Amino acid sequence: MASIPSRASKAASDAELIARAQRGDEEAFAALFEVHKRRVYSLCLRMTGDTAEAEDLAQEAFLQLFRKIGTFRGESAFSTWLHRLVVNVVLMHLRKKGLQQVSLDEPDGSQDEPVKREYGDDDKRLLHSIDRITLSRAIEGLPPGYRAVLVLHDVEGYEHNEIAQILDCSVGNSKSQLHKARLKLRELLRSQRLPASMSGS
Amino acid sequence: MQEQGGNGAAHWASAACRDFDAQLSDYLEGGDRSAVAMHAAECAFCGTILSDLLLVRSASTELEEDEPPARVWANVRATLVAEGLIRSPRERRRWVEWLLSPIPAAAVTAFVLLSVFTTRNLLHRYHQLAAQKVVRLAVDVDPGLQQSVSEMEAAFRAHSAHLNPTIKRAYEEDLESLNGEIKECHDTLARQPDDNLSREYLVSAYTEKARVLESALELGDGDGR
Amino acid sequence: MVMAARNEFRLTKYLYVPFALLIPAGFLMAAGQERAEKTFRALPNCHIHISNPTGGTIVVRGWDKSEVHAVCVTNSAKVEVDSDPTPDNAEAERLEFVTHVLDQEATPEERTTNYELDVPKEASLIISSPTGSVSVEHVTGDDSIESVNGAISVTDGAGFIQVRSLNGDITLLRPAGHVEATSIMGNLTITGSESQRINAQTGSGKITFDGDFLPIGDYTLKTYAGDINVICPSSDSFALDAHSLRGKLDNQFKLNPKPRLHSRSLHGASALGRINRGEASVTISSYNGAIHVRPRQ
Repeated sequence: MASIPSRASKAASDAELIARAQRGDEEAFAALFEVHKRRVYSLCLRMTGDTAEAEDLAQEAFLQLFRKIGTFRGESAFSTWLHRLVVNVVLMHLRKKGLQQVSLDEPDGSQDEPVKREYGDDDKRLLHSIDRITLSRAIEGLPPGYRAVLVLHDVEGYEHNEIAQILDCSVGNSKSQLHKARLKLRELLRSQRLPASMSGS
Repeated sequence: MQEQGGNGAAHWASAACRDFDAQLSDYLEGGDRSAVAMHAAECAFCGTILSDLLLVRSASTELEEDEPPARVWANVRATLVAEGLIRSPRERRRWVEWLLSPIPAAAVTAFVLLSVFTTRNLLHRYHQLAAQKVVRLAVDVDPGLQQSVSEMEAAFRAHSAHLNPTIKRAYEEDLESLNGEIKECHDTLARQPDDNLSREYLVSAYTEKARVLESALELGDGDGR
Repeated sequence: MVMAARNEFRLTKYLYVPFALLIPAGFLMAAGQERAEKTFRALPNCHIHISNPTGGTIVVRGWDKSEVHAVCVTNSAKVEVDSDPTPDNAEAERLEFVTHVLDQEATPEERTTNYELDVPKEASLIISSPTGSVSVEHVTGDDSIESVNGAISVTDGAGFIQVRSLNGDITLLRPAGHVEATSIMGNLTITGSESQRINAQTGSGKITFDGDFLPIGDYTLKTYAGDINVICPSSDSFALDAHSLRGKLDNQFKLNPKPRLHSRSLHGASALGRINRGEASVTISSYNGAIHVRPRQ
């Protein structure tokens, strides 16, 4: 009962494809790439906010994956393993670029912003849906530290203890940065004033 | 205290608003902070903040994934080839070894050779289709996969007589069971075309059927007699 | 009988013959049965392949020695077992045991061959046994076991445990590795699980899971027609995504909303949400079967 469209079947398919890729089977490499490319690329894109960088990083992540695939013994879920690898590649890149904000244990004081409390047109509620382009653009506009924690938690579904491990910070720090990131994102969304995505209450 | 004002005026946070602020993060993380919801219902400003943040969170959660440009794979593949990680196309060594081994009877040889070549092609097609299907989530079963499965089934019927009767019966029961699943999913989809779960199980049943047939054809070739 | 020219089992066989003459054959084994026994020096993490297409049981136990001790019993002289250590002049990295039919006229009964092996506990196993049962105990390397009709049981496995029996039942006791267990008509029973990743799927068989969902674990249990019963400690922390299209769904855990979970279908019954902190991912689905999820009492 393997089901290709389900996550269950993807796991089964992964196991087969990994075994074949470990033997140098090109079809298996290609299929693994096909299965995971969107998630890998999107994670790179959200974390960097730049398509060219995201392409390079996705490429680098897949190369690292395929070079190491012989060492994968199945102790963890393949997708988890891959995901961690991608996050590491992206963080390494961001740190090389000198974006120290990625380290959440050294928060940038300028990022600490209280909840905005002002009247006016800006206080209208966001509409019930936000289109993906608007949201993607707003996420790209976040400071790297905020963007990293928001992407990992809200977009990719990591828990705070995992984020704390990945970003080498405390769980409390991850939580507080996420909250600030959401507030900042809200502010960015409201400031974009795109009629397609927002309206007055 | 809850202050109201005109456009552009600051909203003075009451003690309840400040508590709301302090507890908002925990509330959004699933903590039991009923005071947050209660205050949001009473205070227009805080209600807006909560509503917006819930929307931001859910929109982020549902953010769709992007497709990378084709050159990403082209670059990855070129590097893998250059580094020797990709080797020659997959071959079914087992078949080759079998073909090179002495063959006991000419009649069986002719028959099995035919089966082998037919099976190889079918399996190759199945693998190609299966690899494609992996990324085509929750869509209709590819007609090519259906046809491939149907051809594999015909090949199985043609030489299942060579199988151990117990094993043959087991395979037949499995195929019957999977055919039942396929029929039920088709029937459900005819009534409820929007039922993605039935579609998922349908593709699953076809895939599993292909695997069962692959296993039967391989076993029929070497073992299990 | 038994054991091929490539090894020294034949010697053992001849040693056994005069011994057997002293004892009524039926006292030890049924008429026609032949037995061979051999010990191989092997690396602790050696790979062992067993192919037994003719039926019979396979029992493999892990032990602390860097040796493989094999006992093979065939029901007649119409079959033999080849054993092939690689390299054959030092501690084996790989050992292969294959049952061959010498006489194509042999009946299924006459072809039956039983294996009993003690192997280094870190060994990896690849076993194919279309009709016979397979039992593996205390082997912590990777296991790949396939059968058509036979039951498969793995006790205290800790590597990548890949088991597939189309019609036979699969029983995993205290698995601690990554489990991939699939069947079409067999039941899957997983007890005392300490595994961080399990993918268990069957068509008409039942799935029973009794164990821990470890944090950051990933668990998928799926049937078409069979029921699924899940029991775990109330302290486990996991995100539950359970769905049955036509069957009953009985979840006895209190669920908290989990943002990333969405129902996979508008039809049927579903339970979605976090239990405690929602750390592990647990996906349970059935088309026609009932699903029961409850805390261990």
